[in-house]
Amino acid sequence: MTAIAPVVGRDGLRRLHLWRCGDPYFAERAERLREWTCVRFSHWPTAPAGVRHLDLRRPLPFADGVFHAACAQRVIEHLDPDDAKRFTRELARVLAPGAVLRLCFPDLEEIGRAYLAAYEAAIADPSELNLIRHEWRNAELFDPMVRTKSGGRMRELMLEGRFERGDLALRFGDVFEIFAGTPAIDRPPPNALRQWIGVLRSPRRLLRFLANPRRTAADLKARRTVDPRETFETHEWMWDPESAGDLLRAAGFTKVRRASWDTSAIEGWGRFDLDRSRSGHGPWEPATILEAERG
Amino acid sequence: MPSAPSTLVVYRDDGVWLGLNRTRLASVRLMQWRPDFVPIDAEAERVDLLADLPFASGSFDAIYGYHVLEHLDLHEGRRFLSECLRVLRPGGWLRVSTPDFINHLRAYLECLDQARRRPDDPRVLARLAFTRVLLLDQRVRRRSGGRMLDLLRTTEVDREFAMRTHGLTGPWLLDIARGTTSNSNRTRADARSMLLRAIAAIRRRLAVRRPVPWWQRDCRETRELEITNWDEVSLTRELKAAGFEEVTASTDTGASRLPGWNDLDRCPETDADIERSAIAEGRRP
Repeated sequence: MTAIAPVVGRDGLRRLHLWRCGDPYFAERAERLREWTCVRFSHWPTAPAGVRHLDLRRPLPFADGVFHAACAQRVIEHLDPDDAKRFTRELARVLAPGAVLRLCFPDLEEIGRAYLAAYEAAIADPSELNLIRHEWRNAELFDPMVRTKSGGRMRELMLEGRFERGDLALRFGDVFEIFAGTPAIDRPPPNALRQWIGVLRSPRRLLRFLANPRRTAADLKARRTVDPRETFETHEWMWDPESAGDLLRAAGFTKVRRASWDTSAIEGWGRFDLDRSRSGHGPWEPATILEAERG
Repeated sequence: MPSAPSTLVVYRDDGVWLGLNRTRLASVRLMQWRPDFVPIDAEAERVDLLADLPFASGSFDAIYGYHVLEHLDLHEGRRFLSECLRVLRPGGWLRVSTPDFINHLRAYLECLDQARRRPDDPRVLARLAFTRVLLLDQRVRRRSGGRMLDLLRTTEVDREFAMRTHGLTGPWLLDIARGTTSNSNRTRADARSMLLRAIAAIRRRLAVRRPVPWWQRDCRETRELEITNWDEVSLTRELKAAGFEEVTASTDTGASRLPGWNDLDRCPETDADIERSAIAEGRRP
């Protein structure tokens, strides 16, 4: 595998940014992320310019110790524990000693406690509002693991109108607004024959196919796939601060600590401020954030 | 126990529960739902819960769906509940039970707190790892048994704690994982059932298109996964929505409003839960 040359920031530092969520996150930060090497972990090959698609279950195509910082947003929960172990070891490999890793993930503990609170409230007072909140906490905890269609039960609840705007804005931040605006995520899968005719008709796509036929075939197949488990949409596991901390320490990181959405030990974070929401007053999507140093 | 053919019991896995209740359930219509058609219980009558129940409307006085609802998705579950409503006679009772995952969630959060206070206690850490797997594994596993089986084989989870999370089923699970007991509660190895099993085995061998063995099949396909997760709140909501009245739900396995059903989910000798469950009951109007 050929190593990819990382992007060098204007302060001479190389930073790696990995995430699995949709395009709006990147689009709103495209300017700031220009100084980062951007990698997206999803099956959609429609990456914005400057973003690479990588299957993060495989080794990262970067040389040892080239990065001064890395940020993995909502990635580890889409990997099963064995892949997550390999992935964090790969991150340790591509980071230079002393480099900072920032890891964001939905927190099993936090969601679990929120579920329990919603459950107890619904038992005490089964009002419509409490029932809706309870249903959402249940979806938040389990739906990303068990869904068989893109969007899953959460999308159904949105389409049924069973949601409370304030509650969800608090739980999901900007992602709720995006999700509410475009709940139709799953388009009907394209027809394979039409896809290949499309490849033959476009010189650019044909060239890309000739350069790497396997890659094109995989991309087309991914576009036809509707099973969210095959498109890395589902959660394959969930982490809490303790288990994620153990994961990082096992991979060779030290000084694991909680970080807030608006601060980071990554040099020059104030300039990037990647987790700030559109409104500016909170996180883009509330999550638990751990930072650690490559030992 | 309600009288003979007017009671229907539907189940998926024949674990401790069926073993302890087999004789008492001798007079009811006992049906197993195994979408993967594993001949675990060669004698069991089969039913497909994804289709309509094969009975006329108003056929039963009572129905018990034992731990099937969590293997159906929400829409299949709703369909199952409305089918139950149809085949019950007016005034007939439905009882459904599912794993009590609120109990698992509480156990997990308590273990997490304990692990923070005593980060070096191996017993606490083993319990914490077990509760995490309990919450996650059966939703995401791809191969039968998943990480739960790996964990139980390699880590010492104490029986006392397994009793707390699962009731009597817990220690049984530990024994299965460690291979000290087989995954079967058939105590009667009588000639007829042995013959039936032998015939089933020969027929499988002779099948022209050899089916993929169940342990190699995707757990989502075989419905081993718990694809919905129920508690008293959601059980009550869905039973009411399906049209049942006087709906109650609790995690008290020893309470039932159906005469004779109080001890179906509770072991009378030890007064322990056979399997920790969230149970709902409702009456057809």
